[in-house]
Amino acid sequence: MIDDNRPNPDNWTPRIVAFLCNWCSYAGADLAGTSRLQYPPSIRVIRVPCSGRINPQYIIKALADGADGVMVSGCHPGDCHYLTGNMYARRRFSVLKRLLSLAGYHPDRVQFTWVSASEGGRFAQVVAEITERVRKLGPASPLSVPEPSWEGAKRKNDNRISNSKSKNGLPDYKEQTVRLRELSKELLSSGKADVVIGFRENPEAGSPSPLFARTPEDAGLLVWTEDSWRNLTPYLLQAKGKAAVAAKPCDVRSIINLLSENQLKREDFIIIGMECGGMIKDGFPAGGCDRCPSSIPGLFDCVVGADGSQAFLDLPMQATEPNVAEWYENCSVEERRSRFMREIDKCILCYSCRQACSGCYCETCFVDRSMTPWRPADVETADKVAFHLTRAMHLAGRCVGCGACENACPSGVKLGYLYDGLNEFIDSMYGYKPGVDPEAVNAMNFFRADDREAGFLGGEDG
Amino acid sequence: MISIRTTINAFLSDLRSLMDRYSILAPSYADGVLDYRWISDPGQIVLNDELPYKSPKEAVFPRVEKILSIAEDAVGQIPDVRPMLIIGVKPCDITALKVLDEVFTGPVSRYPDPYYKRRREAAVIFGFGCAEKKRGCFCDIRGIGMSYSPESDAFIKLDGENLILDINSSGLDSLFDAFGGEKTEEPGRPEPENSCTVLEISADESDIFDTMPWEKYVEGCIGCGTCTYICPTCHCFEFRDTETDGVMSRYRCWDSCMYPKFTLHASGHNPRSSKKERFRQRVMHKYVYIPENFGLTACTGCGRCIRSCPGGINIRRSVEDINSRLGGANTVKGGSE
Repeated sequence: MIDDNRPNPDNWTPRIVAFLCNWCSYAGADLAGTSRLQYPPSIRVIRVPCSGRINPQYIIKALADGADGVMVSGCHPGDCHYLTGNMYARRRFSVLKRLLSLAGYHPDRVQFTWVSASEGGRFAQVVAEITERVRKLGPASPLSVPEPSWEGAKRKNDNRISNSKSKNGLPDYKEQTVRLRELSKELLSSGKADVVIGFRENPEAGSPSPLFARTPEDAGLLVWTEDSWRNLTPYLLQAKGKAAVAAKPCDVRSIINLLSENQLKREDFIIIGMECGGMIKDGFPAGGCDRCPSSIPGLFDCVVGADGSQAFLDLPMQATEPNVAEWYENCSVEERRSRFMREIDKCILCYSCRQACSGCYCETCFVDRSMTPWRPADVETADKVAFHLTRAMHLAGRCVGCGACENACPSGVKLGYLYDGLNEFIDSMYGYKPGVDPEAVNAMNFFRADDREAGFLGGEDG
Repeated sequence: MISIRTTINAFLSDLRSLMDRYSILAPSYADGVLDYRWISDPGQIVLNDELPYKSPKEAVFPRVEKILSIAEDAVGQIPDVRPMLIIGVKPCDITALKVLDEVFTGPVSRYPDPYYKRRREAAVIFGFGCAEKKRGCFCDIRGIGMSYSPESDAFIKLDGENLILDINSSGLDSLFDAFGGEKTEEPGRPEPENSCTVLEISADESDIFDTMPWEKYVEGCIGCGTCTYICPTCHCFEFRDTETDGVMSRYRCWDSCMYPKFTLHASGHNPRSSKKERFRQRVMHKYVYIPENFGLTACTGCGRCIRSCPGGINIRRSVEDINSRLGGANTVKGGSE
């Protein structure tokens, strides 16, 4: 819990949580002790079997609950007692450090390093250096929330065409609806599909709602409009019988991600690929649409082109949002912190982001497993921070940028930039993009012996 | 009824001078979202025709509330509640407070809730009407006038730069004396007339419990619980005990019938194991159980759940469908509603 009576920064010893692997770094710490080496009494050691065992959630939770710093140390790559635990950990830590930096934690507050059992001297030196860096930063600042801008929504006009998102104009939704109905009727009457998952009108809600069409008559209720922004993929996971789904490029990226994670079997469902020029939600481009790379789904069984034909037109798409890496490079830690905390403040912990996400399919979510859903208001902010950062870590290299989380959020929390930022980082580090190839292995489930050590103590960006 | 005619600016500066005695909850924009917020200056108040995205129930029934703390053998005092002005409350939300009043403190409820009561008694409600029905709103067919509510302590009407405050409550003179302006004695406003048929379910639990296509209504539900969080009348809660540094605290926290753990028994059995049972509970609670126990329907037609639902669940259409099935008329076609 955050200590309100913070000590005077001049006369203060940082509190650093140190996760040490049992086989190397813990033994290294022991050796430093038996060798009578001096180092600052700032670390609180937690012994873990392997650096690969350290759930990023532990580090996030330590920081969210007020630790001044976190240190993680394991065996040198190649020396792992369990052969490859630290190789997976290496990727995970580089990504976690980028995530924490994106959220406005100073990079010096979280340090990763390798210390072997014979390196007592190195252990003492590493602790001294980490302590010094944290001391320079001062005590961890409480999770304060910056003042909001007390202003109304600035209604943007539909900027899809003016921003040359699709120069050839937008899809003809009427024709797409006609073709979608035809295809669905055929699939249902021929018995090729038991249910077609698409949209129906729901004027009260302001945008179409999911429709589960089971008869050719039901298929006549299907619609396709410019605000069909909902991602229908999560319904595929619960579908009974053979399902067909009307899928935009982003929905298909979700499907591909689920295929690569063995959550869906390709032969179990039919993809009706819908060409898309970007969707609109309440007058704004829907979450994710600003950064969508293509109008054409990456995988499909049948086609509904932009003009309702049986071929895609390939509308030219152009991202209108600047990429996150650029934003990250050009703003200070404080600005990043302030952006993150503004979003956190809006969150009411309803978990609709998680429920709407096609990547969040765990039977029991970590929050339901290991945290009480509600805690006193004074620690609620820490819970929100821990939830969103851990979720971002779980989605690292898996988020397909469909924007379902932002679109579902009733409070308008926009944390998609964290996931996008991580994906850009993972692509630059490991050359992996989620939602492209159903056969590919996720970057976080894989390692190379020569992986770069971004964010490690003394290494690149360290 | 006393009516005060003043200007918007004078009203705001009178509120400013009241802020040392009262906390003020009012609709305001933060980062583009209009919601009831604890404001730091009356200049942040926004009185427009938009419906704040959440209801003001958090003022009287907080999401998390400490109701007990024990250190060693001494029971700690729960701090007093600061008097509050809730300004710009729409008629639907005022009606919702009436529902909560009945449930927590009304004559029928056998166990008056002291925690709710002390907050409710500290709150003064300034109503503010809607000019137009918003997308998804159905207060009219729920029998609630959108332009005025006599249940408020005072009701605000805007007239250009002027502001008219109709005082409905007696006994709050010391508060309303703080507002300058011309005070006149007006005849009370007539009860708003309602020409529509009121949307209700006139059936017993057993008539609809097993006979309605609940599964169909709720097929699109993703189980997020957003509807219950932003609903002005949802009030299910649970208790959580925590211990920090030898101090045990008991918190009352909101619960939601949309969550899988709602009514989960210690044995592992859950009588509401799927979203079908959970949605049925939500509809029945609002349209059958509360009317049966308290004599009013616990849905105000504010439309928040319909507009915010990521799965497109529409309680109004579901209730209409139930009614038409009871009457044997039209039924919902195709999939979820």
